Amino acid sequence: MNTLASVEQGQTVEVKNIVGDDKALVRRLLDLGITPKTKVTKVRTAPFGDPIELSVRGYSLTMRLADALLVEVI
Amino acid sequence: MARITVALMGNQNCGKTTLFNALTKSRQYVGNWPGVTVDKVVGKSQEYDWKVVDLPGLYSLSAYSPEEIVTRDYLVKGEYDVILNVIDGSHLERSLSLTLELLTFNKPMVVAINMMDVVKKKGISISIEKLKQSLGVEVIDISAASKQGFDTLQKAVDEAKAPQDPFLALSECKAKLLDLASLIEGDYSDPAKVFIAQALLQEDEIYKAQYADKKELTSKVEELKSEFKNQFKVEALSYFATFRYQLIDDLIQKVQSQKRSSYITQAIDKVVLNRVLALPIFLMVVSLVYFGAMYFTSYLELIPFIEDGETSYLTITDYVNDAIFGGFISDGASLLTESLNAPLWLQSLVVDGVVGGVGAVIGFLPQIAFLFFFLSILEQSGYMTRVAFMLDKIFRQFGLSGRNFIPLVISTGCGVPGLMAHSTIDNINEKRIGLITTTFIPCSAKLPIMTMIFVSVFSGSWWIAPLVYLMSILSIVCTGVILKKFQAFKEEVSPFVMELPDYHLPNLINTLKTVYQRCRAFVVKAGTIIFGVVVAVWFLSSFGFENNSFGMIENVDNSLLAAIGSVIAILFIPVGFGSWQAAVAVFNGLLAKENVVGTLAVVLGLDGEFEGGEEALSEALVKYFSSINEVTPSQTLVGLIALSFLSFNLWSTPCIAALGAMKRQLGSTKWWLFAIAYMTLWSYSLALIIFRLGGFIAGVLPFDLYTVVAIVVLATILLLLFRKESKQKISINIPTKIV
Repeated sequence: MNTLASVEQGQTVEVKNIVGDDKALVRRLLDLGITPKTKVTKVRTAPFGDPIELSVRGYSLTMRLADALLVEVI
Repeated sequence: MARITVALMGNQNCGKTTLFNALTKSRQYVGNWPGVTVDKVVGKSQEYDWKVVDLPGLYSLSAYSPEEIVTRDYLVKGEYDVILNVIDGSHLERSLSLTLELLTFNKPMVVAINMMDVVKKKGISISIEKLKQSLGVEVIDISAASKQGFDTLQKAVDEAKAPQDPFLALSECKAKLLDLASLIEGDYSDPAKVFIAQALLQEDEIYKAQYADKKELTSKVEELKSEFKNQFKVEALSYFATFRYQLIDDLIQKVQSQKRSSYITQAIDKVVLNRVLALPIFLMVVSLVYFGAMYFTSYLELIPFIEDGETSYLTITDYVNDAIFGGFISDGASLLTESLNAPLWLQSLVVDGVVGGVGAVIGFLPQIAFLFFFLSILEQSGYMTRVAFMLDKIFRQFGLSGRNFIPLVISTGCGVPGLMAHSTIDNINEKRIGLITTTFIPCSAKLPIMTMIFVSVFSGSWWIAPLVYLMSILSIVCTGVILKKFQAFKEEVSPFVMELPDYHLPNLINTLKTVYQRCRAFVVKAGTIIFGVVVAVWFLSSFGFENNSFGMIENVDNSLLAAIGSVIAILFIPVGFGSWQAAVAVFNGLLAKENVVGTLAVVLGLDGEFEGGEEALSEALVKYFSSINEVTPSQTLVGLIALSFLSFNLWSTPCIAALGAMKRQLGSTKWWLFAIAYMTLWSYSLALIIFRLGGFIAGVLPFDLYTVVAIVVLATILLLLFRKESKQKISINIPTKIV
């Protein structure tokens, strides 16, 4: 299963689902606009390898790899 | 009573507070929400006859942060007449998500699009008319900063109507929600019940707990959840946000022209966030900020100063210290008290005590102002957010996040604005650890203590300053590592989701405003607390019982100050400075750290402003430190006591002004008392280890009970540092997807 954490730099993917036991966290990501079918581009990784910068809905978001693991992508 | 109550709602940084201040002028007061941690601000708009409630900025109405919980409780209670939803026009998509959630409360509502000038500059156009039609509520555009569109705003709010379709974002599942809402008991309005029904379907912990024993309701929730899955092919949890954003995507297509992505921002980021260059650039920028602040205030001699007919040029810091406080003001004060025929003691109090004491603090102001000026430029430009992104991984190792970097840097100037800067950190664990550790960074008021020890005891050895900063960083890191392992600091896992804004050219007026606000806290402190302390210390050290009568005294050992200090002093015997002089200095340091040096100088019988120069102070300190431990003065022992004294003063609780800011940010007395206890314990432990263990190892102190205690303390710290982290409260795993 591919997650947002394993996307290559510059690659654009589509969000399939967000899964996790911590429902509050899942809802938070959803509320921020990372919803199924959203197109997400990975812009870069931070110098120390984490977090990552994403381009979502026209703006730049940063996300930690641990959180990106919850986002399944196609 | 105001005619109507207006609830101000919006994302963070949408200009809500600017609008609030513009509407209410200065008529505002701050109060705490009962039982909760967040400030609510209520103001009156005399002009429009409104009561305006400024709610915390947020992105959604989930139960993720205290801000969100407070706001949605307010919305559910329904004690307001109109919702005024402020939107940052340049982030329409994200802002509309909250707008759609607000519609469901079915209250009269107005959407005010702010910062339209920025939107136009970016080459975006938004059709207000189409947005109005689509949302079914009044939409207007305003500029809160330049107070444009306020007439329209007044009219819109006064005539606001409830949305045409409160179920705009819930149309597909309206029947199901109403069904579920009808089972909810309690004193709620119908729209509030619909909101709670939605929350229950989205696994909202708070409402789930509230209705846990209502069997009929909970089984209906489960039933509906499986219905959602069958009918919409998506879990109920993600259904609402997904549907909302689909609606927003359609809306945006209709109302907004294509957004031009910023090539400049992308180009800059390619360089400053480059994997190789990022760190060197960051170090260079930070050094430039500090060098700049020092250069402009302490090296650049640009203020002409005429003395005895000769013109010399002074640096800003020297000018403030020598010309303003040392010159005009103290001369003026002398003349004034003399002309009023004031008694000698009053003259000395005013000229030496008040002018000297307050002046010593104001002397830091130029440097702090310049530091804040450069930092504010960096913050506004958007670079600081990149720094947070860059350093996040490192900060996470000790329970903080990249966002904690900004407060730490501000704290090198003054801890009060540094603590205030925590209000933007939404993860409660990081915020708490941040608030407890931030003032470990030596602020400018702690520098004189360092300088005193550095010059007088260590005869200016270069390694003291780096050692102190290293120990500050170590204190932060160790505290973070120790605290984050406790269950109390595991309230939830943080999604470190942060927006990287486009780079902006800083606006000079905004920059100066920020500098003013941050410096104000510092000056107010100097004008009130330090003023009071100076007078109190002067009184306590000049009066006492001598020759069986109360009055002004000759020998400072007979003063009231000595009497009070000797009681507290017992506590400091284990760490090597158990004398009333040191105890009083520490206590005064609590009121304001810059008092430590002055108090020591006064009680050691030196002039308030070491007229004898560094040698006199050095001699007095060495003699003093050796006398209180009844040992022959040896450089090693005196050095250890000095380090122990320094540790306690630097890393125990900050001054009262900072403690106040800390309490407000922590929002709970319990946490605040914990922070105070922790910091005191930490600094006392450091002092104990340095003095007792260091003294034993260096061979200047015998092995005794204190040495054993110091070893136990050190072992405890190491144990807390390296113990296994208890199981995460929330384990993250990825179940295989059912297609």
